[in-house]
Amino acid sequence: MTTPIMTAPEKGVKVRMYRQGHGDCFLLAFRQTDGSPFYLLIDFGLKAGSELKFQKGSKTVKHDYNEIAQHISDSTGGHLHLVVVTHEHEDHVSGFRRAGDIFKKMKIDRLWLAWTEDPKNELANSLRKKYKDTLLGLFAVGQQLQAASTPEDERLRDVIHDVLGFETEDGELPFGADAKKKIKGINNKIAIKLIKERADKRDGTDYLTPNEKQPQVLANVDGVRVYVLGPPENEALLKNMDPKGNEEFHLAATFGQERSLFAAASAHAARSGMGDADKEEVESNQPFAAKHRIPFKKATARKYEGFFKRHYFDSKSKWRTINHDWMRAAEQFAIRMSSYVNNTSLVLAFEFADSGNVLLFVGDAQRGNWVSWKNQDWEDKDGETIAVNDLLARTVFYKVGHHGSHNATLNEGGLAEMAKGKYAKHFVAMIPSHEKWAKEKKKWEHPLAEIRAALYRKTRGRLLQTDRSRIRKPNASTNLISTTEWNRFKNNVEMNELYFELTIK
Amino acid sequence: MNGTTEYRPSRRRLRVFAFDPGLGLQFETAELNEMTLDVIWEVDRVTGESLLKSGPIGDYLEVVDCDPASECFYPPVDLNDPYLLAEDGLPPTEGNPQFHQQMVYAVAMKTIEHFELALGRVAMWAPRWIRDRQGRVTSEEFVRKLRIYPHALREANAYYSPKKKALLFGYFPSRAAANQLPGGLVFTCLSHDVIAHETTHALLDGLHPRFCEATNQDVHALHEAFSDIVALFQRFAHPEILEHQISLTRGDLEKQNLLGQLAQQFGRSLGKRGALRDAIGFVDPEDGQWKRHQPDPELLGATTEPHARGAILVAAVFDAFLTIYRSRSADLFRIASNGTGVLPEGDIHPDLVRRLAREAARAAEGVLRMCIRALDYVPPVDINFGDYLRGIITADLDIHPEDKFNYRIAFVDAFRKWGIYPDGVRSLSISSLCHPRLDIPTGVISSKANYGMASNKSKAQIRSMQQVTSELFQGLSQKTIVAAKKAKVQINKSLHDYASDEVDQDDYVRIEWDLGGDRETIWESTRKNAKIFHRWLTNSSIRKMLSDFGLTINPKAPPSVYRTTDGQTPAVEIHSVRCAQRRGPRGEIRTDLVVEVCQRRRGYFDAEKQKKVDKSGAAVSRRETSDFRFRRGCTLIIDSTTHKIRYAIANRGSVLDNTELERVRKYLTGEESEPVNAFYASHGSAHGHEEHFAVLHRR
Repeated sequence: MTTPIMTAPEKGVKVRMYRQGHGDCFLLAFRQTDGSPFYLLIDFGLKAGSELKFQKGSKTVKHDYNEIAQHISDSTGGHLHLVVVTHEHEDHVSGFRRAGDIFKKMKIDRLWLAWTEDPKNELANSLRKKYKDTLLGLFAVGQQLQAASTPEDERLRDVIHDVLGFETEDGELPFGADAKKKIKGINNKIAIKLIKERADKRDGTDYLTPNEKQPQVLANVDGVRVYVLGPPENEALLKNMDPKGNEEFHLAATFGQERSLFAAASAHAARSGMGDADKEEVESNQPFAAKHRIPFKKATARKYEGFFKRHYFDSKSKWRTINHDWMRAAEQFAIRMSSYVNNTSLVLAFEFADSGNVLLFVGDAQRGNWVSWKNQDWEDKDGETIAVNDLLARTVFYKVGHHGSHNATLNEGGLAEMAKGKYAKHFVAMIPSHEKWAKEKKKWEHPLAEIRAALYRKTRGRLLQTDRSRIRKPNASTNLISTTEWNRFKNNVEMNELYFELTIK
Repeated sequence: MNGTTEYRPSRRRLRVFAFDPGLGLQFETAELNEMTLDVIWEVDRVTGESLLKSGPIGDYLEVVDCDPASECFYPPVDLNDPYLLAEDGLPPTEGNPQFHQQMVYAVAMKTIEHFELALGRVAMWAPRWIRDRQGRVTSEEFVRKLRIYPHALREANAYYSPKKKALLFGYFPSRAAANQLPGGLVFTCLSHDVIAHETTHALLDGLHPRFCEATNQDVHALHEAFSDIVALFQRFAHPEILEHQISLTRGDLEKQNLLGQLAQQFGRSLGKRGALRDAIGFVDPEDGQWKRHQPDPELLGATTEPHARGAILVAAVFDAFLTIYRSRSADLFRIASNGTGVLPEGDIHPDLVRRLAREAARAAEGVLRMCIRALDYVPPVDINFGDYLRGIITADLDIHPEDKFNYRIAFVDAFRKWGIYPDGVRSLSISSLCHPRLDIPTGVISSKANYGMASNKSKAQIRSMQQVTSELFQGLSQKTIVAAKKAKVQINKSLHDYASDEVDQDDYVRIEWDLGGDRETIWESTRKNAKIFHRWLTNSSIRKMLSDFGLTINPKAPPSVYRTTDGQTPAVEIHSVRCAQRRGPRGEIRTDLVVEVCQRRRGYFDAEKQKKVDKSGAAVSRRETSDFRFRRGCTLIIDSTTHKIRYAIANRGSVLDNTELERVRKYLTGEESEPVNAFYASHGSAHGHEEHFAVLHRR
């Protein structure tokens, strides 16, 4: 069966959400001035092992990366006019690498990335340096835990693994002697690099920032403007997000607690013959001068009259030893790192001049990113000001952030401001989530029940989620939606095993 | 060390940082930097030799200075070294790990002492539960010493590990702050407050191991709040600090002062404007000015995070203290101001400072004792703030029926202003808050009335049950527990007639609880006593009253309720039998037995599954596990001289109560709380986490 070409509606756009599993992959088709479609791909990734399974006759099947990439290629005639990578997490980029061979054959005109990836941006570079240092530290901790013996240690190792979202060919974290070299080659980066190389052969890569006063445009597409809402490019803002809980941009702190923790981790790694450690850094993080210290190996020496033998190395004390407890602090850093990367998500709003409709793609932006939007406005060619709340009020499509988790959809200044007036009649949201996998395998509430419920009300039932194959009109007694409105929505949606496609006119 | 004289010291003097090393860096507080604590001189009661070994390792604590991140140990300090004895230990310094060992030992010992004095018995650490592969507890082991690791972690954290029965302290590089060297190391084990706080967690765990199970949002919060309360009020025992601060505030402790602040250096090093927590006020982020907390009865309802909820309880207790201090010092202010109540400008007279300090110290001591004693007057599981308030009031009324300085009213008033109310009391008067005094004569109820009621039982059986009761308590009163300085007191020899296989024939109720007893012997005897009490509770006629105590032995209880080995009767477990000695209002010594009785039921996160299990009617295998355990219990307070059950303090609802079960389920599945992070299921975070203090404190 040949895959039909994805067409673009005369007015508006088609939005296709692929159903590969727990991850994002959105293909959009706009109409170019010559009538042919303009294809835009936003992210293509999947959490390892989260593939959605389907029943085909008596067999259970899942769609692998290559199948979806091929489908994208066939649907677009092998030509993507624009690729957007929102941020470098596995569930947004892994497909580009896994199906690299297919993408290498495709024509990719242009790539959009957030300013945080810009090698010429100083703030981005200093953040990346801190990020890299923390990452190396976490690698070192993970490496120490490779021989994990207690359930606690195993759990921590899995958390580091999960939260950072790395995956490699052999399923192991890139620890070991050349972690520093490998860090450049982390798979998520390889994935982006691959697309970048394709795009750089044609129109190149743009690094987008919300500081730009003029909205972006799509080449040869009339009447569509693209607004960059995040990530915020402002060091003071990055440092003082007044975050709640764990959402702080901790990496921007001058003196991180992690410094001493990670110095120790890299020293341990170096001792086991894995990588090298900066001896000065290690020594400067020692709490006491050398004369006070008894190295582990010498602790059983006669001089100490068996003190440590009797009180630490004895079999009776085994249950109370603390060899790995200090590494548990790494868990918080891993989570903060992940939040940080989520917050670097490129957030885009696509506006249609004729209908006024707005499509909002937020990547996995967490609270910090969302709260930064509110002070933004843009100027159009006539000098008219466009405020962020105006864009939100006209939103008719929302790509739900971070699988619908609790801090990636803000109500105040977010959902509450979306889809006002006539736009409420068309508002649709899509949640890329494999809920059952997330809950059972990872204990993640993706989506969080309360957020899902709020979205359901706001969209009047026009809510699509990767793993839910059917949609049903909300019960008439809820008075959520009229039959006319529902039927119009239903006629605009195509649903099959591979994707959901929504036409927005 | 054999001295040439027979004289033995009773106290050991050790130098410590008064608060933490940060204070010495500020000019105004530099003089407060150091102080000397005196702790008990631990001796072997038989040989009279010092029990304290290098480490320091004594009878309660063992400091083992292992720093795994730095891959080294630090040599143990020997506090019996004559050079150290001559100068009250090592001088305070951040640079010598041996001083750190000395300081954690000294402060932790002082905390234990406060606890023991208030409760009137020796302190016990929680036993080590040895579990099988399914996580079921198969046996328990006495833990004589709490282990302390002063340099265990490289992070801004310190915690008590219930699993290891150990305190783990961290160190970390400071952030740039007003009085900190950026990047300089901050040691949590040099903060008086942090040590006292963590030691209190361990002491509370020893007393109430089930308070580690968060079954409502107050349980962890209470652990935190109580640890802060002990850390705060312990300070008032040191006149040098007290007088300095009273002089600085001109006797008005409601002004910003160090007495209400916890972990100064720690807070500043994390980039905060002041201490980690402040019970009196806060620095307003708007204008940077310090402001007094204003009680807000709505706040508690809007707060879920355990530390934040705990802070509300601490603020309420501190407000109660301030009210008491105000009332105790009012006359002094009148004298000093010629009756105007307005002090003249300038510093106040040093004599007045000393007198005010004495009043503050007395008030603080009273408040701390009330807070600690309340722990014997609360339900053994699923405690909430309201239970704690009732515990404070009941315990105080029980011990001091006269309330000369209106302490109780000060407490109720402060709690009311902060919105802390118990469930199901009609009013906030002392009499309705206080648990009703029962005075059930345990030994006598087994007489005629019951004899007639239980006619279907053989008379012999009833007689034997009566005997269990009367002899148990007869024994208790004859060999009064009070002066049990002797090694072992045997009580109730004839009880062996009723001893089952579980209890060796040679076992008797042994009670040796006073502050001089050997802790392991006491621990062993409490375990044996628990068995005997169990027999008494389930076999004597007292069992007719079990439902009044929130317990059930009805065989028709839902199958999810844990049963005894017969598979029929719901199991009743005695968790603890301990003794509390205190001096009554007329100076008499009173001894009470505090008996904790618990029952449990299998709980399932899926309400449908719960219904299914309970409806099936089929017995559930003892080995069958469940998602959580729904526990209910009762604390019985029994007067050892009159043999009367004075109080029975039970949880709301018994194990049969489906409404309560549903509430606990909702709490555990996170339906009532906000998830902490997108990456965790709400019940994957601090609840049920093995090292929940580590997780709690990391936030």
